[in-house]
Amino acid sequence: MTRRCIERFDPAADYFPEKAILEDAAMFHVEYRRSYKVLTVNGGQPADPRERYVLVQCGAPPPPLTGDLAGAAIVSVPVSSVFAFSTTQLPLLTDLGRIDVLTGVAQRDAITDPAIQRRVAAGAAVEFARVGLVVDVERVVAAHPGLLMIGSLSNRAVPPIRAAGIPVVPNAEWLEQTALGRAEWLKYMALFLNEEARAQSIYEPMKARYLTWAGRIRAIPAAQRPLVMTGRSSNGMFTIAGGKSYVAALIADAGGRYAWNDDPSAGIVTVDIEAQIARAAGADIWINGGGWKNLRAMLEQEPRYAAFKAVRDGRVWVYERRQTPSGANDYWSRSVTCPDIVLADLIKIFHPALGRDHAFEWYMAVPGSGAR
Amino acid sequence: MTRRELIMIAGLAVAVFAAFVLSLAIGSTRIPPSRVVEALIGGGVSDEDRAIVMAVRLPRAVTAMLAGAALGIAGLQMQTLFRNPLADPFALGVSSGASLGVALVVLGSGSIAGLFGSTTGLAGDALITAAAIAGAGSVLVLVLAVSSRIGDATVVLIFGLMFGYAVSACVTVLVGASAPERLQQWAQWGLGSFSGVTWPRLRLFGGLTAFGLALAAVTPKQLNALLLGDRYASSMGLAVRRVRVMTMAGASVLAAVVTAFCGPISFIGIAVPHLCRGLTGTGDHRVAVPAVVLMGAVVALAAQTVSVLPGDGTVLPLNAVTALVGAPTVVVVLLRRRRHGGHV
Repeated sequence: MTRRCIERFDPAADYFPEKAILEDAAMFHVEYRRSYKVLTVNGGQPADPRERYVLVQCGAPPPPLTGDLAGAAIVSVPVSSVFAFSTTQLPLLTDLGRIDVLTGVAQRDAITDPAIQRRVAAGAAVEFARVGLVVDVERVVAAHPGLLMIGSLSNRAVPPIRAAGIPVVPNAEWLEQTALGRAEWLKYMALFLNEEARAQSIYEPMKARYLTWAGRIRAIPAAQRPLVMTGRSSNGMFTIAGGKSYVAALIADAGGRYAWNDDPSAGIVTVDIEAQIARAAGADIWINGGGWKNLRAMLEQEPRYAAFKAVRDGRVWVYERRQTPSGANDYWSRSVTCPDIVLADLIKIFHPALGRDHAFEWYMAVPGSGAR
Repeated sequence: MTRRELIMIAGLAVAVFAAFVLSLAIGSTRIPPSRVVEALIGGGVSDEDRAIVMAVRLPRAVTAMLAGAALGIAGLQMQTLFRNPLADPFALGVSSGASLGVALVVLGSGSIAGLFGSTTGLAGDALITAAAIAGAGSVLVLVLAVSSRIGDATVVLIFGLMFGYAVSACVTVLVGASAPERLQQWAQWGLGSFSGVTWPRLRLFGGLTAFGLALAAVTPKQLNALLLGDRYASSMGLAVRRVRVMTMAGASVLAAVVTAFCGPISFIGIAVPHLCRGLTGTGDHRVAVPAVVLMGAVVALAAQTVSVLPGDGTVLPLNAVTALVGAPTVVVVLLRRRRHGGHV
């Protein structure tokens, strides 16, 4: 049923017997009404208003867009072709085993998954934002995909593409305040493909593994939890994870104390190097910077990094273990739906003894350091 | 120099000192003044405080001081060169030329990261600075070539603006073709900042700005003569062409160096010379040069200090501060001067 269209519509029938039950995600919400799903989702930026979409099973008559549905956009499901703007959206399709619907990617250079690379090479998926991640509106309209999943709805390409009758939905996964919530966006993609059951079957065991890992560090007293800093500096300004970001939550779950714990923002935030020094000069471990060949190059780029204990101790960790020379990073392509592995990596960094049975997946110490 | 002018200069020097002290005392984090002093004299303070004062605030304040002086002098030189009160490194496209030089090196080498020092060390800085100077110089030469044929200062200014737009367009094309994470860095560079210049970079930055400032310091008489017109200047036995070229070179170096290291910082270049004329009441370069150097330093230091006032790591874009705080000041000064019968 889920993949086929309705031939003879029965208003009393429940066409979605398999329903997504959201446990952790906070940035979207779904409600099932027999032949359509009502999806409410954040627009993709912190201040964006929530938008409403009506996902109608194909073959069913669309409901009148009045009352709580006024102003909602209609998407016919299941969609059979998807344009994905960000590489972080690709694992949602890969995990569901549905890259067969992927017909457009933003930039092929950023793709690390060989199966998707082959798909692009074979012409089954086109590139639609090759130069500077600017969406090539004409290319999208010409291909007329069943769905364009974009980063933020404030992207200037959205109005003309919508005007051409192509449904555009945002993806605000990065604004989730927990890593599990972020991973649950697997179910978001599933809504459009009627793959709720499969999404649940993937999400559940992953969540169990995550909680098992998190359970390992529960007994560690606060005094033994390392102080952790994030980000990197550009011209004296540090881009760091917000205090209410999923990264901050991961640090806490991995048994670390985040230096900007009381910061109120989700996603990322920019602070000046002075404030970072004031808070994190004594941090034991530095994670999620990147782009450094070794510690010496790091200090050459920004001599003030020497103010951080983590640098002097050589405890700087980046998620670049699986990065191609061209800069495509497997972390961005797969970590969204595998927070259990990210957590295990972090636990091994913060509490090596507790992660002895785990092999690093994405994280590595910046070389030139006496990495522990 | 009259007694009044001397007092003005002395007052400005005191203001520079005060602004310098303030910018060391105030940052985005709170450090009691006593601990700032301790850190400066090498007393017993925490490593954090020492790093913040010695590695962040001190080089930032020195950079602000030099950059402010440099932009002010570049603005003064251009206003004199074009005999136009609206001339400044921005209006004439010189800053855009410097940006293009920077973008060409950085994007040409395939790595905008070089601009922000992430892949290149000081050798990279030198190359980028040279490119910025070349870019700024070429635009200025073009504008001057036009101005030597067309006497109308307004037309020349419009030419400068058009060059600026064209050059900015080239930068936009270059930037548009680069990766998104680099775009973010580029955007941040465009906001302007004195925080990116660390001690090792300050040597190059300081050396070049000192050179440019020295050039202005030894030519006040020649600049005065230029102000009275080329014919008058040559009748006084001045090698007009040489003075023009030298002044032009000095202005390009100053504007380009600041752009390369601190980003395109607007407003200071045009505003500071006006503020000084308003204060001292004279266009005489023997007064104007030292006054502009000091006033430029005060304005830049003050802007830097205001930009970190929100506290706890939040920093206002420097360009927003220079314009928001500076524009009304200039308007007030000009209006008061008009009331007192002065001219711009």
